Amino acid sequence: MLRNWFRQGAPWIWLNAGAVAMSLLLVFGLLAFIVVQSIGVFWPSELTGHTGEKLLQYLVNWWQFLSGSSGQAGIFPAILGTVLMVLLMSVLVTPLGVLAAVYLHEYAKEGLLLRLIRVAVHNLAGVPSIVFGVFGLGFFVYYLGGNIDNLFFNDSLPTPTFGTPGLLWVSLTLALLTLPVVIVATEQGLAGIPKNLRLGCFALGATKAEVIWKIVLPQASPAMVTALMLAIARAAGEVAPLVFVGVVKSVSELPLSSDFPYLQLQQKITSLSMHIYDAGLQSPDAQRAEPLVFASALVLITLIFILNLLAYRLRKRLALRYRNRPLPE
Amino acid sequence: MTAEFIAKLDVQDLSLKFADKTVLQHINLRIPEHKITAFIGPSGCGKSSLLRSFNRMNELLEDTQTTGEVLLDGKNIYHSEIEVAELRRRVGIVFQKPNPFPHSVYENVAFGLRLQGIKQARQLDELVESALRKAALWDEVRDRLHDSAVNLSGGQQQRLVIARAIAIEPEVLLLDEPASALDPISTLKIEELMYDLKQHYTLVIVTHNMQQAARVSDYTAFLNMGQLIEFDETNKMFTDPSQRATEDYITGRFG
Repeated sequence: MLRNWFRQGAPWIWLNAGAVAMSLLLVFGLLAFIVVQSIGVFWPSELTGHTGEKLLQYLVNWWQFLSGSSGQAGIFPAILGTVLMVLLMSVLVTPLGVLAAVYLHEYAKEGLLLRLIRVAVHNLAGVPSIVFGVFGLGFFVYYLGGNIDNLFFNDSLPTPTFGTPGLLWVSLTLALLTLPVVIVATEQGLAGIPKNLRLGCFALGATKAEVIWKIVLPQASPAMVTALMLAIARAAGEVAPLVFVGVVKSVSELPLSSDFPYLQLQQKITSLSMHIYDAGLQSPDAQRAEPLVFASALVLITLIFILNLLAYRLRKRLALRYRNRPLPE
Repeated sequence: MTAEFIAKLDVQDLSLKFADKTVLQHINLRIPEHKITAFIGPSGCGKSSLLRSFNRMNELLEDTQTTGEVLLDGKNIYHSEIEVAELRRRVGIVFQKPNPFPHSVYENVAFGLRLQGIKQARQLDELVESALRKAALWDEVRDRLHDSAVNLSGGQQQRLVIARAIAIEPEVLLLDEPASALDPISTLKIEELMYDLKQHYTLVIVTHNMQQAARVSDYTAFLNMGQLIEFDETNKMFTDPSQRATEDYITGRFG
C-alpha cells in the first residue's frame, strides 16, 4: 500500500504542489501584508463623524499623499521621478538592446568570440547593481557630463550643468543595468522564430536585411516587449546605484516644466524606491513614518503593475497582428 | 540519355559538401525548359540538396561547399558577381511543409511583389488575384483574402505558398516534395496545378512517390548516394530503364 503510494510518485507530486503552494503563499502574503498595512493609513482617526464624511476624508488624504510635494509629505515628485526615469530608460535601452541582439543572433558568426560575448552579456546581468552606480558616476557624470559642460555650457562653469548627477545619468545607468536583460530576452525571441519562415522569405528573393526587417523583427516584437517588462520591473526597484547618479531624497524642483524643453534632463530627481528607503530608515519619527512606507510601497507596486499591464496589452496586440499559430497536423 | 531539348538549367560537374560530408558528386544534368523534371531516389540520396543548389538555398542551411557550375540560361549562378536575391527571384522554391507567413492571404501573395517595389494598390490587387487564380486557389479564398493564412487547410496553404512563389513570375519553380504532407485530394490538386504551370515555367520536383513522378513529370532523374544514376524521359525511365539500379528502385526491390 505505502510502497505503491511511493511508486506512483505521490510524494514527488506532493512536493511539487507544496512548492507551488509555498511560492503562491509567499507572494500573495507579501502583497496582502502591504495592502493591509497601508490601506488604513489615511482613515481619519477622529472617532466622531459620519461614515460617508470619513470616507471622503480618507480619499482626500490619499489624494494629498499622492499629489503633494515633498515638503507636504507627499510623494508626487517620487512618482513622477520613477515614471520619468523608467520611461527614459526604456527609450534608451530598447533600441540598443534590440540592435545588439539582432547583431549577435543574425549577423555574428558562431565561434569562440561570439561565445565569449554571450557569456559576458549573461555575466553582466549578474554584476551587483551598485557597481553600475559607481561606473555611472565615474563615466557618465564626471567624464561625459564634464565634457558636455566644457563644450556646451562653458558660460555657466564652474557651476556644472550636466557634470553633476541628474535624470539623464539616472536613466543611462538604468539602461546599462537592464541592457543584458533586454539582449538575452530579445535573443530568445529571435531564436524562437521558425526557420522555414526565414527560408520562405529568402525564397522570394529577399536580401538578409529584408528578411530581418520584414519577418524577423515583427515576429520578435512580443519578445521585445517581454524584455522591456522585465527591465522596467528591475529598474523601478533600484535605489543603491542611483544615489550616485542623481536620485536624492527630496527635490525642490520637478524635472518637468512648462517652458521649452519641458524635460529637464540635468535635474536631480527622487523616486518611490528612494522615498521608501528614506522614509523607512532615515526618518527621525519612526512611529509616524512606518505607515507611510507601506503606503509608498503599495503605490510602487501599483505603478509597476500598471506599466506591466500596458506592456502586456501592447504585446498581445503585436502577437495578434503577427500571429503564428502552429499548423494543424 | 541524350535527349533533344532546350536546357533551362545546365548542371556541370557539380559537387556539394555539408561540412565534411559529401552530398553530391560530379553531377552533370540538363533540365529542359517548360517541362516537369522529377528527381527520385532513396532518402538521403541528395535529390533535395541538388534541387536547392539551383537557387543557392543550401548555403542558408549549413556550412556548405559547392564546386562545379550550374548554368541558368548559360550563366553560372555560382559566379561571384551573381546577386543571390535576384537569382532566387528568378528561381522560386516551395518546400515540403507549407510555410505561409503569419499574415493575411493577400499579404502572403503580395509579399514578394512588395519586395520587388510594387506599391500601387490596384496593380497589387491584380497581380495577387492572377497568382491565386494560377494556383487554383482564388475561388476558395476570394472572400477571405484578409483572413490570416494560418487558418487555411494544409492543402490550401501549400497552394498559397505556390501562388506566393509564382506571383513574382519566376522562370523556374523548384518543388521539394510539395505534396508529401498533404491528403490525396490536395495532392491531386497540386499535381493538376503543376500540369497547368509548366506552360509558363520550368518545373523541377523532388518526390518520394513513384506514381507521382510517373504521372506528372516529362523527364526523370534517378539519384543514389549523391550520384546521378540515370536521366531520361519519364516514359522510357519507367518502362525500360537502362540501368539495373534504376529498375530495382522503381520496381521496389530496394530503397
